[in-house]
Amino acid sequence: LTLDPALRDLMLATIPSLRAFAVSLTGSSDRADDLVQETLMRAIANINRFESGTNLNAWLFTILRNLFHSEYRKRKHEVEDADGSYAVRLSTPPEQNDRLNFEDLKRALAQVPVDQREALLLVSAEGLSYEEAAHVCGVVVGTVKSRVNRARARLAQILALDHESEFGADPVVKAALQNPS
Amino acid sequence: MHDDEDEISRSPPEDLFRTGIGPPPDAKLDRAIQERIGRELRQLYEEILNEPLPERLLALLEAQGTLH
Repeated sequence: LTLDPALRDLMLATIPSLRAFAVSLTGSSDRADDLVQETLMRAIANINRFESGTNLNAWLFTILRNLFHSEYRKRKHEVEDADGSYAVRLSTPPEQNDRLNFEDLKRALAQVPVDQREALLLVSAEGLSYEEAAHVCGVVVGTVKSRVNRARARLAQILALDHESEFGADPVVKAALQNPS
Repeated sequence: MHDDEDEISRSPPEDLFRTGIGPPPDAKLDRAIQERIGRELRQLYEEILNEPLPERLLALLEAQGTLH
């Protein structure tokens, strides 16, 4: 088994991004590292299927994403907070300019349905285009856009960010602005 | 790539409404909230990107170098 040094270096450079995606997707560093390791092993074992000149990043993300889904199907009940109990605990809206606690954010992400979560992470955090994210997820661009919108709405709901725009201004000031007489 | 379902036309899952707070999932979010979510996610990513890489991942590729 051999790996072209240039490809190896490209894979090496992609590891941090693969880890960031995997940690955000799974909410666990240990599971994420297992997932990245399995991804690299699969990629090395199937390197003859990679078309030189095409996007190695996208290929690796696709492998990782498919591995995650295989694992996810086996342990679905552990991944999402389907009863929404965490959302109840986060019912107090955060201050508008406060940074969110990373653990809160990771737990909130775990509540977003997995297909929406991966689309949001690929586009909003990883910076892939909708077309690239669609390729990685194996869906059409419109589906990715829809999933990203839904993921944002769900996250805003869980983190009570939607309350900021709805209730952000002082109610007395709001009422005065609406009834200037 | 296969043609997936058009999710916009489907009814949202019931669990999205269980907490009874917030807008329906297809509602257009305030631009500022969209930007904040993006900013928070990028900060989370940045934090993870700055973590040292696990030795086992580096070793996996280093082993490839010695075999070449």
